[in-house]
Amino acid sequence: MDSAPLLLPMLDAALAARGYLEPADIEAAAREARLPLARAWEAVRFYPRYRTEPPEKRFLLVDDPVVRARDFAQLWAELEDAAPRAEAHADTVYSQGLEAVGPALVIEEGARWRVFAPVQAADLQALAMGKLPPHELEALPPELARGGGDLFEPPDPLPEFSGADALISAVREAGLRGLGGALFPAWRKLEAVRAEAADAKYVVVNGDESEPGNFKDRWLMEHNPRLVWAGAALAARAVGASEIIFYVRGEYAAARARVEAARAELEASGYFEELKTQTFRGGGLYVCGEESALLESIEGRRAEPRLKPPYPAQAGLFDRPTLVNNVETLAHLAWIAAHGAEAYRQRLPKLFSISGDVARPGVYELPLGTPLAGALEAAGGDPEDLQAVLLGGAAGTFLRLPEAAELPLDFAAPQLSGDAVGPGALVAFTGDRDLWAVAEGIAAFFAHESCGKCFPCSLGTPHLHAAVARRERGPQTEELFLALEQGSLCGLGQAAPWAVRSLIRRFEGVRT
Amino acid sequence: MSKVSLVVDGYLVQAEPGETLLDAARRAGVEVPTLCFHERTGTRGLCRLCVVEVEGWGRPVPACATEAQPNLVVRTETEALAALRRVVLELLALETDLSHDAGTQTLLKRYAAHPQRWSAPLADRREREPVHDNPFFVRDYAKCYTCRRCIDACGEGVQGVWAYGTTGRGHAAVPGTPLDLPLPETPCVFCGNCLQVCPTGALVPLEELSLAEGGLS
Ligand code: SF4
Ligand code: SF4
Ligand code: SF4
Ligand code: FES
Repeated sequence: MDSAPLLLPMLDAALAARGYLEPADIEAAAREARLPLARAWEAVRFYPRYRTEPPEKRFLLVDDPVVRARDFAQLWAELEDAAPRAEAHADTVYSQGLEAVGPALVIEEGARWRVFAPVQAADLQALAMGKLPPHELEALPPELARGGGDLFEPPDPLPEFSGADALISAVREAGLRGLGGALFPAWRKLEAVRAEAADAKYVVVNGDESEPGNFKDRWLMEHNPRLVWAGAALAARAVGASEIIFYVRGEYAAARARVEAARAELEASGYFEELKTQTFRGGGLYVCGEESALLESIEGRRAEPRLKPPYPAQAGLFDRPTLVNNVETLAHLAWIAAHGAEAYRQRLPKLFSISGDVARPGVYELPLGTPLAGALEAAGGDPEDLQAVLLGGAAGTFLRLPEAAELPLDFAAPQLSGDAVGPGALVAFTGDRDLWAVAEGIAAFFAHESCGKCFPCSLGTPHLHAAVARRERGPQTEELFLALEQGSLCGLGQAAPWAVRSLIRRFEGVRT
Repeated sequence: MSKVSLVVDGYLVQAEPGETLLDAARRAGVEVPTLCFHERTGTRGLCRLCVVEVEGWGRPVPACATEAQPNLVVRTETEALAALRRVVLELLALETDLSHDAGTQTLLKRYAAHPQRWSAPLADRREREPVHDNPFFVRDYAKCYTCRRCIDACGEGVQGVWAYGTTGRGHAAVPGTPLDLPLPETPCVFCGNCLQVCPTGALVPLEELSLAEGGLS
């Protein structure tokens, strides 16, 4: 790491001490980080947690595709009613990876979050009398990983490094792809970073899972972080990196604590040898999961996607060659190192976050290529009862059932723009659910998460949200979809119209 | 190094190595519309108005931020590009006071933009109050479209002073000063670089303002 300390951890330390930041905290952090004050101020005014006033107590209803399809409006009305009577402010917060256990409520006091799930209307009413909801949730329940799976098991023994050539060719033979959504062949990234000559190289673990509908990375970070660290350490050796930074989504306190505990244990046991390691608290915004935005945020800047090229493999963190891999990808890599490409190819495991109208929502390890109906049935869903599945997550598409029942969940070419297994979310909806309400929530999410760097997304996402709220369709809406999809700088703006467009095309039978 | 041959709108162009598609288009006599790009500040890639189609590539790419490569076949004016530019210009005009921005107004005409068809503005950009905090110029961010040229001109691009930074996210992103201080309390040296590069009239010298309003007060 470049010698100056990182900005965000210093701001976080000040935040933890007081619950908000004073000008002197920001000035001190800027000085230490050797950044102009204007730069530090940019970060403060970008990341939502850096408040500069004493924060009020807030009740935050978690807004995700599952609750939007159900009783979001009713719960919100209850919360708005109860909050002032408890001297708190009512607000919403986007998906917290709790789709399988929601509806969920966050109570925020100072810098501290307490999460309650599931909550019912009566629990929200009781807040007015000062009563907390009955089910507090620190982490996802371990049993949410259902039906068993190779990736749910901690590595025992820890996989050993067998040399860069052996590891990279095993990853290649295994056919591993980037499982954060991009699906880029994993061995190519490894090779690209390995091929660079530089005074320092980094491995960054992308644990910023923030896309509504997805929670498998959260589960891995909370319940099997050793496997991910092992994958990161092997990858670091393969590419010749000297340091690993594990970037954990900002809101995920338990995941961060457990990732850090696993790091400390592995370090004490000597597993990392000369490798430097650290756990980094992410910025707390969806855009932080875009790999170059993630690197910007480690550097203490606004998490805005960079123009590419150059790619992180050439010029990543502090301009050094950097391997950025998703949590699940590295878990797979560790498994491949331990068991070999052949065993992997026989299984082709993929994690799916399955939620919504199924009997047993949770994380499932299923063979790639499982038909959609099979995946839903594994989770206790009845494909006959379901009208739709949101595939991939907020940056995904609605598939129509029963038409899509036999669709194999693999990496094959998409049919509609945006159709892709992506990170592996499946949100199921029965016939009585209002898919437009779900699409509206997704559009609101993108408008909220736009970083503001490029014009089509910063201007277009609020208008997309307004159009979806008005249930608009037609040629003008399609123009907006295209401006976002074709004009935006990064995947966030590009994907913003996918869900609603798939809803219009597949469920209304009109080509706008 | 040898020249880079590529085709822009049907014309063979010989670009110098390192030139962008924007430069290459200029060599073909084609003026690709731009808003954010500025030679001196290095600002580029934000407005996406300059996006062009390259045969065999997926999405259109920003001409100002894409290096010319041998044998590319580039189209700078297609129906799809015009539609995209029109939407961006319309939303921009809806949300921003462009009354002092002749360049963008010309583009609005060129692309037959009708901002009104998007109904009402959604962001509160137009309600921003002008900031009078120094004796030299006004910062009127109701007119600002957040191209960030001023930030680049003051910060790493040109001056290295860092009196500005970007604040806020999404449609609320706008230049501001560190800790929201008045400019005279920032490192600002009143060099005027930011005024020179501002395309919208959001940053205006006080003299010009008072002249425009009919004499010195
Ligand atoms: S598409 Fe949206 S999130 Fe991505 S760079 Fe543009 S404004 Fe930022
Ligand atoms: S006038 Fe001040 S704010 Fe503008 S570029 Fe010069 S130093 Fe920066
Ligand atoms: S003030 Fe002018 S130069 Fe600065 S971002 Fe706004 S429009 Fe661009
Ligand atoms: S001029 Fe190229 S993106 Fe703005």
